Amino acid sequence: MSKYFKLVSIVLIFAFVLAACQPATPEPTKAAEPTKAAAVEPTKAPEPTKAPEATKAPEATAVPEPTKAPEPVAMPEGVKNIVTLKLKEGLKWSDGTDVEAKDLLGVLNIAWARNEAIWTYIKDVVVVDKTTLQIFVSTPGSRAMRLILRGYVPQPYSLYGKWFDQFAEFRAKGVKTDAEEVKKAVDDLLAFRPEKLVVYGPYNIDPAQVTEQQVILTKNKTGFNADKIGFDQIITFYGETNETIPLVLSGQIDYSTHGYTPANVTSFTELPNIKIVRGPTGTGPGLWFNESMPPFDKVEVRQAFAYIVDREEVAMVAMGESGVAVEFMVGFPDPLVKNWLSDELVAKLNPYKKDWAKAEELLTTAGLKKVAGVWQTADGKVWEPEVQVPGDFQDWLGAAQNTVDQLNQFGIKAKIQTFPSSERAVRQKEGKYQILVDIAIRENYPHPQAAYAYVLMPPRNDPDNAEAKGFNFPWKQIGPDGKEVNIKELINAAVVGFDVEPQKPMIEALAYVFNTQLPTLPLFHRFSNDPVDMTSRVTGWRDFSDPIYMNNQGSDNYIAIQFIGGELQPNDANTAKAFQTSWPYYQPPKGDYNYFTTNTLTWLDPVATASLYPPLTWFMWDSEEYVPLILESIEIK
Amino acid sequence: MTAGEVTQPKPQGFRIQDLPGKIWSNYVLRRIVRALVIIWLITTIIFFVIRLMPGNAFDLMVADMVVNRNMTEDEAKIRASSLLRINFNRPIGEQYLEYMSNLAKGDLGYSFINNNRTVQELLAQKLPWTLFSVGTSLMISFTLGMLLGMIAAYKRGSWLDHLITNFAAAMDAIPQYIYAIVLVLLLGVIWKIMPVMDMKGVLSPGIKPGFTFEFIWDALMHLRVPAFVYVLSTVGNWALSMKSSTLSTLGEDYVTVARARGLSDSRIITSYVGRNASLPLVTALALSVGFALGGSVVIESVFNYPGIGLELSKSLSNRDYPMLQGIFLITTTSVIFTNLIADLIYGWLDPRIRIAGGE
Repeated sequence: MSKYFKLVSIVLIFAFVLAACQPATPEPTKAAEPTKAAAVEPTKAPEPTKAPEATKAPEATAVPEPTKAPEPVAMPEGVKNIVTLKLKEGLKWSDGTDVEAKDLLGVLNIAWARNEAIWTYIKDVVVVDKTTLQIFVSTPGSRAMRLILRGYVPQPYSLYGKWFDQFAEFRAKGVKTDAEEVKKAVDDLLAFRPEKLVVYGPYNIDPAQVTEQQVILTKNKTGFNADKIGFDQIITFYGETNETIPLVLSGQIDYSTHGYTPANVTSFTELPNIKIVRGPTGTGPGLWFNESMPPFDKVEVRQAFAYIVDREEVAMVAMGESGVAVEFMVGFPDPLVKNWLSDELVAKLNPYKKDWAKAEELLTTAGLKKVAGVWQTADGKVWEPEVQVPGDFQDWLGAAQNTVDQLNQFGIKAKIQTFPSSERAVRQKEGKYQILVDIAIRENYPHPQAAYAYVLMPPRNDPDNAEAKGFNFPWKQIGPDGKEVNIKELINAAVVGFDVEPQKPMIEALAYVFNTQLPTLPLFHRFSNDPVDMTSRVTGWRDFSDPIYMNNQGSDNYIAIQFIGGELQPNDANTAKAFQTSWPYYQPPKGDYNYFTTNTLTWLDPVATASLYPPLTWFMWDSEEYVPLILESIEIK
Repeated sequence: MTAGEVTQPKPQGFRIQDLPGKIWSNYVLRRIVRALVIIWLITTIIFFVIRLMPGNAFDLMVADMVVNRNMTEDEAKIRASSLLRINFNRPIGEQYLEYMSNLAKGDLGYSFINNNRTVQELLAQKLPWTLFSVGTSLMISFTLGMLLGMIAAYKRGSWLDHLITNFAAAMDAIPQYIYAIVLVLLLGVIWKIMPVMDMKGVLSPGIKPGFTFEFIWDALMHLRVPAFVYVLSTVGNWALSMKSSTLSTLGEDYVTVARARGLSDSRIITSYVGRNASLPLVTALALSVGFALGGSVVIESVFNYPGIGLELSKSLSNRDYPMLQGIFLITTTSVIFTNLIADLIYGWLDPRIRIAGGE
């Protein structure tokens, strides 16, 4: 052993002893405090589960449509619209108190204290009477409406009243949300650990029956629609996708929302009792072309790729029957086209059907040449574009591999490069790619603008930024009327206001620009592949051709709607009268019963979550209308 | 020095400059110092290596909110910032010094992803289940492996030897996750002997932890399949090692002498062969006990067993640095200290080791 090692050893030990004897320093625990502050987004927990009126399909016409033009009325300064929400009479919390408008106001006040997005759209909220709330909207639009009607549910004053009052007082006094007293109150709220939930839904979590492997919800007999639902309990088994496969195969799951692979689905469908529901997820991958990397700055090259790649083949390889090739190539999901684009514009759209002769013509026009079956760049080098893809996203990886195979068959020596999905954000922003596989269509709120706002706006596309241009698609483009348009301005303007009619021409212009320029090449819509056990324990499933299955699986779940509505019932073999599902919930001791924390146990599968706190409304994606659930009425002025 | 000068003897007594030498010349202290240095070294390497992984807790939280919670990226960033008030851009050296300073005080920090819970608290919750599951399984596997190995060696060349050796080699070659998946499918799906959920977790709904028969029985019932998987996947290695060790012991002179003395086979097996052959395996067992504290990531993940291994897997995927550091620290420390104990025992048993190490 060397002298140096001896010396280092002794010095280190002294250093440890000295450090241990020092007075307390700013602790890294401080740095980690945020874990305590972790809070769930109110929009998330309640979302998965809204249901139509008991025992019947939601009727979209029952309520004034929030998307219709509001009536003109005198408004306070800075307010464009007033949304009045009236709760149904007779709703009861499980502790016996009434559900009131102040319970919803309190939740919105907490959202204010936490700088949540809804407060960028609204200016004030006031209680009108016991069940009526008025929301003063400063920036109306689809996103604002979504947040108001689907983002929040009441929480009990009896449990959170202390904070409801505190934040109301702060707001009334004009205290800023970054003030220490507000932050302290938020931390205090997030450190709160109630022993159980207080709910107004038909089921509540029994803390004695929460384990690592399952959460059991028992009937809350005074809860919303409890008398119409025949199940005594909901059992949510713990598990990520792979862990739930044996549960499905052994017939222990009635409904599950995991992202099963085509191979899993094949094994499920071999069982006579299992059927697969394929509902839209609202997203789908595509190829992003970096226009800072020639020759992708040439529209002919981007269009050529669209003619080369058979999107149906890519979809089938990546997702089986749950991948549906993009048809309209407008940059937002196909199902929205019928409500947003005129027949005239649709007739102008290029469908980019597979056509290799056309692709060759376009590439030649762009200056590339084919020599001995292999495409070369203008300077005579073999063209070897690189397709980057997050290697841990199995369906994207499959899509990328198939795309590269097709390109190679065409004579383009493309190659694939994988990277960890955690690096996506950096690569997107800095444009460190030639072609990137990433989200190309998206509707995280039901409006075409959501897709454009995600894909075409900074940081993913930022042509004015000298250092990080994203894929560098220019703001100035030519619209359908032949005039120049600024797509950044269009995207920002296309979502302003509750009246969608004035927004449609802007969406049409964006759709046209997208279709002609193809800044990205959308490949397929990703549909869910949810196994449903049709016969083992449950009856009453709607036929799979019902428009309800056009709803978004995650946010307005079709099975949750049928469950809360009392349409699904236990069959004779289901002696335990249990509805069984699965979800990777926060296991004990991590999970808690505070609705506002990150690790809240209220975030369960769509059926269970909606059964705790049924939402204000459901959004029916096929008709694009909000249908009240625990609301009596919605009025917009 | 001239021939007539007399060399004065150096004064006897303690001198600070002699301290390193004195510590180093003491076998026990030397081993302890070496163990502490290795722990520091590994802790340091782990601190930097986990920060080299792509992405951090903030990036992953934002990505999760965008993908799974229908938030826009800007909304997700605001929310993640309010949840993780951690500056990931602080100089790495500053973070390291703070971490080591707190570590010296026994403070491992707070987990990023577990609300308001310290790493120590979480480790204290997870460790008993890991010790219970892996510890129990290890003891069963070790005992069974020793027995099989000895039988195979003693019956060498017989059909029993071939059976045990081939079985052990096959068991040793199959990965744990294969055992786990196949057993779940066989027992829960195809034969339907046991509900899938009864193989998972540690307790059934409604069972409260405590020293009651109901609790212990339920915990054992939930351990059946995970423990079986652990035993299946490790018993082969123990059996083969024991066979090898026993075979070499059987050739020793003292065994021949024992036979010549007319001692019974059972006496020779237990008192002469078994005890001597098992010595090398005891060292391996000590190492395994150390690693046992790290849990079994595969088994705990497949069976949703809430031990250290499962927590390691979750912390890794969420880039929960404090938790990762805590888990690696406890695993490193346990392995090094079980080794240290083995070293000390060997040194005590065989003074030659002490002397040789000090030279």
